[in-house]
Amino acid sequence: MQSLTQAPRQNLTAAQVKSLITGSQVQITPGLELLDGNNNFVGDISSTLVSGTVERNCLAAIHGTCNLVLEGAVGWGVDRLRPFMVLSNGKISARFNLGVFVIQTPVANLAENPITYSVTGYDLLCFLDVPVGDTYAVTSGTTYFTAIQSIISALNIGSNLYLDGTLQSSTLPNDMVWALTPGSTTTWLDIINDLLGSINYRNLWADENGNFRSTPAVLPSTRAVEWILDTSDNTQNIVAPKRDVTSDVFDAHNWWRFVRTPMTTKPVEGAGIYTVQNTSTGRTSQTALGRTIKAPVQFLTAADQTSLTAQGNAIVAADQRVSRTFTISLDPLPVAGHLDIVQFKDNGSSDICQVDSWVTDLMGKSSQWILEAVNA
Amino acid sequence: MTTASASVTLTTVWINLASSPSNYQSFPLMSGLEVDTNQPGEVRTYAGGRLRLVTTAGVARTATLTLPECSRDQINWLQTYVGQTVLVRDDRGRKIWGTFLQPKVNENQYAQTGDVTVVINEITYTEAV
Repeated sequence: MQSLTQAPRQNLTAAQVKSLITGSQVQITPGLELLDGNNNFVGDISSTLVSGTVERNCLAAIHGTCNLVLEGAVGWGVDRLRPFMVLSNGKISARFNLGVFVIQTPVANLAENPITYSVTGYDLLCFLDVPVGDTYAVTSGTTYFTAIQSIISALNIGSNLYLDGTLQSSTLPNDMVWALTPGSTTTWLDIINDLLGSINYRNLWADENGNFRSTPAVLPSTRAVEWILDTSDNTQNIVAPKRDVTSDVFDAHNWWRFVRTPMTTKPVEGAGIYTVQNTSTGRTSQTALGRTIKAPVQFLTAADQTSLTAQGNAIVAADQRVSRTFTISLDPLPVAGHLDIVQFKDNGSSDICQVDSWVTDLMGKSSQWILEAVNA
Repeated sequence: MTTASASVTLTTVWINLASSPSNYQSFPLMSGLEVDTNQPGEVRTYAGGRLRLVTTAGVARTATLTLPECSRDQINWLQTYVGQTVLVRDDRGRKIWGTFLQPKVNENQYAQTGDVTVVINEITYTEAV
């Protein structure tokens, strides 16, 4: 989640920003900026914005999309647009950037004068989500960070790369090769995410200003809560009345095996193999369901056994938590980010949830959020 | 450099064409002027029963003019400039940049005049050149 007091609202306190978002009265003003190829400001084109939404599906290949109706053309496929939102309560106001997008699919409505364009834009991961078209290799001894930065620099995307520095000096123990084969569809994003996964970092994402980011993967249940949604709080609640919870235990796995690749020796349990069994925890355990349901064995690119274990635990956690999802409607919460952790308090229960997807309507309508319970 | 200002008191409604301000019509027989102000927004109800006001920027005004006994020239003028940007000023000092899309003319049976109703929808307009 964005920091409440980060630029461009650094002159406000966290309490002021929170009161703007949840206060008893709020005015919402949408805006749109044109950026250059290095994400620098070119011009304000808010007057061309008729309506729109910004959406984020944190589990998709390209997470961020926007759907805008514009009065006026931009350089389709080239120009970058940054929607933003200003919240005001008559005393103070705060601006929230909502991402940087490249518009790919304009549909012009010729029946209107001036012509309006219904467009879909994708966040800057779209520049990486293109086939490599060749064999690509990173040699052993190269740091993972260097390998990733090299790709982004070579593609001349113009976005900054911010990686958590925990494993900045970690190097590849073996060469990694993405071979060109018949039907090969390996993308630059695949390669970067393979490299990040090898050191147990989260898949790359683009933030609200178009910067690329990644941090070590941590089980969602152990991450700090970034926002509390409490339906009984009559001073701050912004959750609409209609909300659903879906419980699903169909084909829920309770046995997993992960195998490290590449290996120069035969993998065995504890050295190249990591097996997890859920015998008694929760409603999908072997005891609760009365049988063992095995997940397909997964081969994971991992720098070492520690990384294999961490990646395996993340997959197990993801498998286990799909049993409960909340679909809610929410007023604009424009600090939303990537895979945020929120606490959802409703009807006397309290769940720690990962935000799988969200929608922000630029005109301020309530929009759908999908939360996935990740309670420890 | 000196600047001069002047004020004019109007006794009725004047409509000037924005693209050519000297092109105008005045309507001395105005019988009704209704100005509505519309702030887009709503008071929303939330889970748990909370209520709050959510608005979006842009207060829109509409002015409904009722103009009896318009001459043929006045009617033709209004029908010619449908959908154009106009400046509407009234006898109370109000000034609205706007446009009208559906002037309604009720032709008088025994004369060349008509009773006209025009809804002026306000638009954001910059006078600077």
